[in-house]
Amino acid sequence: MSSASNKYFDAPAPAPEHPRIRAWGSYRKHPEVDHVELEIRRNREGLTFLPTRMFVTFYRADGDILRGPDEAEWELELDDWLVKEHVRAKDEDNEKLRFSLRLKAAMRPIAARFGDGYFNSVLVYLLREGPFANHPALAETLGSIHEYPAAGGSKGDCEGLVDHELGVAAQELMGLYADRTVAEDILAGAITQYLDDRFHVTDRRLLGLG
Amino acid sequence: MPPSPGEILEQRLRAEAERRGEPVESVRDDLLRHGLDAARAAREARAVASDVVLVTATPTEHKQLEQAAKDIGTGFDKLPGRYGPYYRLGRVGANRVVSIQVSMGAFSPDGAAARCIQARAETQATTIILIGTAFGVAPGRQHIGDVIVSESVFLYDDRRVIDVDGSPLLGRYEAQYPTSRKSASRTWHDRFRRLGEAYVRTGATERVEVGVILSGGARIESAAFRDELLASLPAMEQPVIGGEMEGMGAVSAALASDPADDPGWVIVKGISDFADASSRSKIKETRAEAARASAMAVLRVLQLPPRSE
Repeated sequence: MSSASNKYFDAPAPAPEHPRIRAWGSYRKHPEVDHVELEIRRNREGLTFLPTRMFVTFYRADGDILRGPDEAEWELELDDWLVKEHVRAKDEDNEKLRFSLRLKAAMRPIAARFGDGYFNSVLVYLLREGPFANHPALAETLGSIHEYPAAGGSKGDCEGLVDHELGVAAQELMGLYADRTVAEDILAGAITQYLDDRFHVTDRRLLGLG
Repeated sequence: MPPSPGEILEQRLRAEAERRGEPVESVRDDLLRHGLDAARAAREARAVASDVVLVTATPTEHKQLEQAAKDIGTGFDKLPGRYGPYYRLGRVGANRVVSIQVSMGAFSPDGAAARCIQARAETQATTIILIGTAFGVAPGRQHIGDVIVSESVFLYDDRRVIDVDGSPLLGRYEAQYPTSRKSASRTWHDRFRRLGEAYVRTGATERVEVGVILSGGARIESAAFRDELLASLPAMEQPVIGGEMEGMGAVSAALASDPADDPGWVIVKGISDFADASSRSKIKETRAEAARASAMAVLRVLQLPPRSE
């Protein structure tokens, strides 16, 4: 017999907003706010990184800061909101870093599903044959990664998921930048940074391993 | 008629000699030497490139891994590396696998901390698996040869020790461990959990247990110390299932990861003793069995196909 009233069944509560998003949303609505800017800092310390931080600043039309920079640890949920609000990073290099973090989050479940070895192989071969193969920075990084082609019945599934996530990132970038050339360069740069992290390309150089 | 590749190279060589202000022959020798060095480095890097690095510490662990590799039909070829040799197992399932042997513990120049960082960079591996032997903590429930897998590692040397109530009296202190527990790769320890379930389903004698593994610099051969250490730990939602000495290596190599990222390491060790005088007295007999169980569990999991197949 069902209970007379049960709040979980009668009127499920909506998900509460992230407190930061609530605050940023209210700042954004301020009549004097003209635009919002994001800066991501991920400082290297030897072979490791300090925690990734994000700084969000709210500007007036004359360029003066109305509020911020508001500092937080980088979280996908916060960044998703900023992307939805069409908030760009402070410059293209910072945008590449931002999207490399987004790609890392997007690719994580694919690597978990297919296993590291299989995912690594599919990812590298897909990029070597993809539209960014001749992008100078990406080509150089791909050249220093040693992978062999993947085989097996899962290859198509894995490729499809990776392609889908790269497509999602491309569409998000087109929402931020009207110029497709700029968006393409940022995505190629983001992929380059993601690969550098995953395959320790800079770490190798720092250790004198070429 | 366009210049041939040989003529183009000769033109570049002369231009480089002019830029340096050196004779052409000396520049030619120099470039050739550098080119050969670079080619050798690239060849070595390709040879050790891998997805997974297996880390052993003692000669017995290394030998048992070699034997297990032979049993499943993979190689165990010794290859040169910049900081020490690699042993290439080749492809195991969908993973390219190499092994390194480190000194026992994490602290020496060729201990687990330094070598895991170097090996991760040199091989471009995305996963580090520490294998070999460990001590168990529950002699009644656990058995020699049981495999323990880290849901997390608890670095018990990373602690704050304070006087109780501010009193400096001998014996009245307590340890606090605010940052000691580090999560292992969920993806990997889940796979070992499934292997353990498969062992139970098929009635196999092998057993796999997943939980918190203690790691520190002490080679523990004292039940009193073991029990005092266990009693000093904070309450955790996962059981403490054993301890070992190289966990800091894996944690060091994963420090570059973002907190939310999968840390890309797991500890998989066989129980060789219970950190007390009685079981340590039989370690020569039990170490090989434990190391073998660990190596076989790891190779079985690596052989699993991608989940969607």
